[in-house]
Amino acid sequence: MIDGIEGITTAALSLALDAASLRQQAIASNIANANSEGYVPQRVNFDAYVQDARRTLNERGQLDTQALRSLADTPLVMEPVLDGAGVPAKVQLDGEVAAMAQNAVQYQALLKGLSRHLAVLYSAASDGKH
Amino acid sequence: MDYTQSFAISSIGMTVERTRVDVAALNLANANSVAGPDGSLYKPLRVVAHATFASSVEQGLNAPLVQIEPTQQPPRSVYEPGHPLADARGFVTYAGVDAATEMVTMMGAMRSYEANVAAMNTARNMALKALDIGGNT
Amino acid sequence: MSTEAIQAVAPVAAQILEPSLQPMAQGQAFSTGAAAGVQGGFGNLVSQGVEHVNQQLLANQVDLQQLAVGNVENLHQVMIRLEESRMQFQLMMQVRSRLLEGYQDIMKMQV
Repeated sequence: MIDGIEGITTAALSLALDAASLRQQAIASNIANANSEGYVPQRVNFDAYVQDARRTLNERGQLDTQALRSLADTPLVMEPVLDGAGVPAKVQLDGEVAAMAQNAVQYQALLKGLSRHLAVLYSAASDGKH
Repeated sequence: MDYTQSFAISSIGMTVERTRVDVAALNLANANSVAGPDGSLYKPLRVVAHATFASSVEQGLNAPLVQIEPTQQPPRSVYEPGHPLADARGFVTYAGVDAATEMVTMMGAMRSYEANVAAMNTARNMALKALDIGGNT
Repeated sequence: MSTEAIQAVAPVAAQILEPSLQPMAQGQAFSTGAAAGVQGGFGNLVSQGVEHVNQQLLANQVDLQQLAVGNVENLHQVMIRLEESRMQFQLMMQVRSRLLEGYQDIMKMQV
């Protein structure tokens, strides 16, 4: 892990992009199997994954290498969606499509942020010439 | 308000409208059911969105926001003396489902659903346009 | 760099740097009349400008980290700040290029 704050931001953004693409896979799988018998909908529990990082960000004002390392070491997996009684829920098609739209916006926002961030570094490295 | 909250709000609205359509379809399916010999009769159901709906939507909670409760519409009595389930006077009691009301409810729910989808699409387009701040580079 | 050279370049550079230094204390030696004090004042000017741009960029990093963690409170505000700091950074790079060009021009002069 790079210690400079630019390296931390780049690493954090790439982890978030990983999570967004995993979420897209889960949603696509749910939509494709909406009418399959015995299919259990999957989802990515992003909130639990970034809970510690969020707390570090609120307390210290920025992420540090330790928070980022613990985030990178935790594996992000899909988990089954269960309703209140612990029974696998049914696939709600419009909910899945809405989640897909939201995930797409989040992915694009992360990409834009990353490219702007790298553009500043690039202009510094190339002396302001293109 | 961030766009994730807009998505959650529209999503809850769409769920409510879908429940309304489901309940209307259930009522229509049971429109011609007859009271059994023990007196049990299908009561038409109705979806009620409570006054706390607005505040819990703002907070994005997953609380049960709507209640499905039976209405108190009086059952229909039709004079059919030859019916096996007719009572002593020859009347058969059907469930008090008003088909016109259910159809209007379904059409209203459809329009509300479309409005919720339009709201969600608008929120999504606004967020994407915000990403365009500063040009394409 | 000789004092005369700095005095020649300083007014122009101060003009360029002024918009980005608005939040700073205006009591700095912006006036071009203070001939003797310009050299120390200009150095301060440049370093304060650089510090301001650096603070902006650090704030941008925190914004992007918030976005990565999932706090999308105000996306448009984040994008506006990113664009502002990118423009300020490019402005600062231009100022640096012009200063370097001026210095090289002067060094090329035959004694």
